[in-house]
Amino acid sequence: MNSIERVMAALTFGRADFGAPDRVPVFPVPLMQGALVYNCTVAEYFGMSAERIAEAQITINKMFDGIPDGLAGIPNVIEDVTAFGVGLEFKYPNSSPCVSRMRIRNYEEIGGLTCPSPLSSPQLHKTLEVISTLSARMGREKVVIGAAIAPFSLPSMLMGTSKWMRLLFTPALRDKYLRRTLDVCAEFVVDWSRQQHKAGAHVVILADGMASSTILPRGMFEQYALPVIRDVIRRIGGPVAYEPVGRMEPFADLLADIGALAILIGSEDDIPSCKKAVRDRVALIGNINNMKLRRWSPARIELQARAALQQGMSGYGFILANQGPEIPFDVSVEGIGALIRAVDKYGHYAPGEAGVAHAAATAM
Amino acid sequence: MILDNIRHTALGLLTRSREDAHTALSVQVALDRAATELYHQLNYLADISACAREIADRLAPLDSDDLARVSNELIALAHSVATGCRASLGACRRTHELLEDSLRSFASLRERFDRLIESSRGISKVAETIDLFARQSTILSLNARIEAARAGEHGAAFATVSHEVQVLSERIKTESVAIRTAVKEITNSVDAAGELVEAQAQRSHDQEGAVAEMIQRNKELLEQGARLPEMTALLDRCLARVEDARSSTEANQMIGIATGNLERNIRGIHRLLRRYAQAKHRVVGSEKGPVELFIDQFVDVLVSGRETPVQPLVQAMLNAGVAPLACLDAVGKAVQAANLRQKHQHVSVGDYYLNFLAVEAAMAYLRDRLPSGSPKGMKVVLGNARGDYHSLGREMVGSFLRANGIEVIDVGLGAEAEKFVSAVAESGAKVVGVSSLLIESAKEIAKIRAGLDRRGFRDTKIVAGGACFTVDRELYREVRADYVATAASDMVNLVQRIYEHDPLSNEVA
Repeated sequence: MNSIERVMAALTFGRADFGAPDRVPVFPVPLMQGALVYNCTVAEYFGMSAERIAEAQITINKMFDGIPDGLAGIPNVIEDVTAFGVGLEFKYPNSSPCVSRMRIRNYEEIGGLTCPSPLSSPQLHKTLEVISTLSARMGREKVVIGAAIAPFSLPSMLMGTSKWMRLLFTPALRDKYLRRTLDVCAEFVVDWSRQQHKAGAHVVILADGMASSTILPRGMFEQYALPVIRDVIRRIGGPVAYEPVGRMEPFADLLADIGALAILIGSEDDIPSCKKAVRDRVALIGNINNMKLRRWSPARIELQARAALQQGMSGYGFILANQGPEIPFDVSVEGIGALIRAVDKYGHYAPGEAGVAHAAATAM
Repeated sequence: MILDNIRHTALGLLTRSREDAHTALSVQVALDRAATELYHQLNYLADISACAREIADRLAPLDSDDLARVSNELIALAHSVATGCRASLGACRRTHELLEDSLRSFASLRERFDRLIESSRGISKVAETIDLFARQSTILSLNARIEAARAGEHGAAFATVSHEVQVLSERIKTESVAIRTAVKEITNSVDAAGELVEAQAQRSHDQEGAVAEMIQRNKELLEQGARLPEMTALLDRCLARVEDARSSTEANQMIGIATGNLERNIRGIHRLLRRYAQAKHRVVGSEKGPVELFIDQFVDVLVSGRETPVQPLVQAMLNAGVAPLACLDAVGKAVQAANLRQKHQHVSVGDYYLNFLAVEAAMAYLRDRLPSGSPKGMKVVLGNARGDYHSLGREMVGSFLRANGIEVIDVGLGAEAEKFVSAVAESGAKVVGVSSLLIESAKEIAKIRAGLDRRGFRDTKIVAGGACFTVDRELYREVRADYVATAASDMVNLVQRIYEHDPLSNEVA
């Protein structure tokens, strides 16, 4: 069973043509760790050619004996703003880039906001090349993962979180500007996600940092965020995983039927409760705390991964991963290895048994 | 008559007034008791806080990494024990089956040997019969030769025939002996083989017993091995306790904050009760004052999250003659009360943001009427660390602090460590609040700490906040902050406690 078969079997709960997965798939997100391959800074790595970035991701996959089932085709989702004419800059050489300026400095500018073509940005063009390179070289075996900032969160990158929150929570501003802002962002996200699918991404993750229960009251999520998410996923038309960065559980009942193949859950989410809430309608991906990976020993990471597997693997529909958005750069390679190899040690399913863990704890 | 009526009415009023006063006094006594009880609860909370600290201290030496390693090894051991036992059990069962097959084969072999022995005996009997025949033929031949001798010459041919018969009889006799010898040898061999088979069968039988015992032992081992995951689960729970203990400093902070809130609320309740009792005693009715009314209404606005205009509420206080500073105090009290009520439910950043907008609106209305500086003498240097440009948290914290009469010296976005230190030097603030979304800028806090220490501000406390500190609540220790505020409202209580020299403020991580 190769990674694509395994992931599809897991996402379809072992019910479709793919049959049952042999083990739980694992999607670590080592976006910045490509720099380790070339012994350079993250900033230098992000500046490299598409071919070299793709090569680094393949090398990382091989570094862990090909266990990871997915390959990340995107360097960092923040680059989506470059299509809107905003540059990126590295405040620290080994951290994620930041936007160099806000595209929308005052609310009046929203009236003139138009949807740009993703291809107008050299960075996004390069990302499509990374995706197509990964797809050409590994796409028959490994899941190539694309990503985009979801339409409800993209405005916070274009105008700043503070301004976006004020717009959302002030009735006068909301009435005047929300629809236009979301329309433009939704159109862009649909176009950008389709481009990634066309380039060879098997699945596109929609990262929605502003739409989790950590940020939004439930009423506001239902009224303003949920319809946009549902509509965008429908319009994209290809496989999408949805990531409400933060706690998912309070909104789990609302997210089960948005049309996504999987939902990425946060480290504070209780996996069994989330599984129960979505009841086999959507798979879950998660949820090892990415910040704590920095200070946990490999043994501790293995233990956390084991616990997550024990909670999530029964009944299929579970993929082990770090909590989004990515693995911090200063997490040790051994630590990342412990997370990945945990699926090989504890994540195998007993043949013929429907989603029953083959781990020692349950097999004895 | 009129005078009597007046006297009667006056007596009635006096009686009612006395009754009211008595009721008010009873209410006051009852409420005082309730307040005393609340103070007892407060002491219990303090005890709980102390216990939590002690537990944390006692568990601190436990290395969670070691526990994690042991837990993983236990599970690996359980897995290998189970695999080994299962393989051994399989092998034993196969051996058992083979032995049973062997025993069945031995039984069949024994039957065949018996039949062979029987056949040999039959052959021996045939040989004996042949021998008898040979002996009788020899006698017959001798008799024939005697008769031939008697017949003389006519008997010569007959004598030759009888001689041949005798020779034949001898040969038959010889062959019969050979047959009997061979049969005897066969019988001896079969007997010996039978004994060997018997002995082997006995050994197989013994082995079958040993294998059955091994199967039993393996089963027992499997049962014992099955307890290993239980032990691992126990270990995992221990590990979780250790982690809880490690987080207990934060929990203690929260308990401290809760205790502080409770204490303030109790004092407030006490004051209100006294005022209520005095008012009741004076029989002037139980209407709430403008400040209390504002607090009730504003708390309702904050907790409900309704987008309600707050300026009219503030204006009502001002119209009632409440001084602007007292209005500010009322805003702060309402924020604290709302936060306390929200503490027990899931509150999103958006909920806090609505509070922030309401507080901001109230503050905007009061700003021009307030004197500059902090009426309470509390100051906080607040800013986003170098490389951090996410202003939301800082803005919310700043607003809540100002609403509580705390002066904020805002060093803005992406501030260098030195900017924080200089602001402390200039303002004399005892608290620095640093906000950061990303880990790299969070590490700047260590530089701020070093800068403060270098300039002699060792007692100045640093409170860290922002997304990375919310995701990993232990991160503040790594970057050398003294506290972490995971919600904007926590900062207010932390600052007040630090300025009040609460013992908790000495708990530097």
